[in-house]
Amino acid sequence: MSGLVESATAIMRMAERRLDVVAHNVANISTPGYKRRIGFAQAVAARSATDLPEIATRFDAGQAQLSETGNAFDLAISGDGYFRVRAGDRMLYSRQGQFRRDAEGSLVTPQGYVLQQVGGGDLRIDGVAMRVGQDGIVLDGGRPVARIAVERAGDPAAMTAVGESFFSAPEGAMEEAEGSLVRQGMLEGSNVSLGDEMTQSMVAVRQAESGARLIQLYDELMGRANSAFGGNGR
Amino acid sequence: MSGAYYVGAVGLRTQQRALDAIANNIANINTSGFKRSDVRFADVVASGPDAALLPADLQSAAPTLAGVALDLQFMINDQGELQRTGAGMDLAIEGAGFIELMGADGRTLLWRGGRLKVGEDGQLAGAGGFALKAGITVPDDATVLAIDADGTVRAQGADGTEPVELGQIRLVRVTDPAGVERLDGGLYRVAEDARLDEAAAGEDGAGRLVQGSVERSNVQLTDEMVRMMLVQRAYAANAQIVQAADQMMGIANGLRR
Repeated sequence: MSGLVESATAIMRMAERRLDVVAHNVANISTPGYKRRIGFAQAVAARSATDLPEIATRFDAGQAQLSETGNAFDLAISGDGYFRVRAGDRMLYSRQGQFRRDAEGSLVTPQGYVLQQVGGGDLRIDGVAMRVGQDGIVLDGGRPVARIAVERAGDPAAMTAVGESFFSAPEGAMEEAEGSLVRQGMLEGSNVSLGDEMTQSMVAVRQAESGARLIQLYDELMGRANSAFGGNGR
Repeated sequence: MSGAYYVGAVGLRTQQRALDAIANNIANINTSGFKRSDVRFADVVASGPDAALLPADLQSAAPTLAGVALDLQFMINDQGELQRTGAGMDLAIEGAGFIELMGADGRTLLWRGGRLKVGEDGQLAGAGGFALKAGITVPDDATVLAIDADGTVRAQGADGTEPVELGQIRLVRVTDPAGVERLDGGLYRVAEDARLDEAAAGEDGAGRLVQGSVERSNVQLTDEMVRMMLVQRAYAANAQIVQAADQMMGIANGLRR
């Protein structure tokens, strides 16, 4: 019988976790390049009460709309793929194209991670005007200097989020993204849609309610059993 | 304790700060030489518990979702419209450069132009009465001051003699906008370690000087209004999430009758 209580609390815990995911998506409704998280219940192996489903998250890699910013250092990817940036000696991937030029002429993210070019190495701009073609080729004062690395994962599940819109991927998991375009002076929005998230939050609240109802029902039954059997025994 | 509460609260606070930035932009729509600040959001994922501290079966594989962060950036390279005033002491920059001023503590201040003044000691000064780093002394009997596009300053005496060259105003370019701090009165200060590229006006993209004009603010009211509406909606959505989290806590609290 106590298995029922555990199941019911698991339902409530799951509802809470689901709402956490919704909260994170809504908080990032205007974060450029943000990919919305989808909470889903992991496969249930209901052999025992301890193997209850948990909410895991994965990304919806869908393209969000591009909006023009007019800032020459804002880049967006139209299509599949991620920018490769270097954080210390670690490679990270992101679709957030808000770059700026640091004192050395490298293109860096707000966190200071350096944008990489195809074949490795930091992308450096010496001149004033930077033009980026749709094929990712960077023109510095009219002459091509480098090509921006846009890579995609063969298996999207291999990528893990490491915070602030960045992903890490194991060695060799990434390959060049064919057919993706780099757009200069544009930023990709967030692919969170408010309608979906609000529905999810309603689902979560109702789920918590039904979990609570189960526990109350169990409590009621136990109370009845206690009084009935208690009365007979006297 | 529900994480949605905190994430919702972080979202509310971040949108509030974004609104502050937009309000500041709109308030300065008529401030000459004003550069709008751009709001940049980034999502935050707190990393999972430290592997060394917890046994393997207690660690959660997925990192904790922790909300959103905000970063402000001044769009200092975004040119504002030049407005002709006809006043001889008004100076504007067309391009990405800045005029260097000598700050009170000896540190360099950057200035986007505006109205020039002649200080008590005869030095040509910019906003706040800080003297130009070029160190141009205007003679007492000068009547007309002429500034060329390349920064050369000439003064004409009262007796109608040939104009005398007084000096040249040079420009600097900031390579890293993140190292710039905004002060009052249209002045900027650069971080100690930031690099400044000095260039004569008209060279290396530093821009040219325009006498008799002021640069208007680069704030676009329509853009700011659209941003403000988005912030408003995002704020409301975050508030809804906090309410939903509260409702869920209410359900849990109502379990025990």
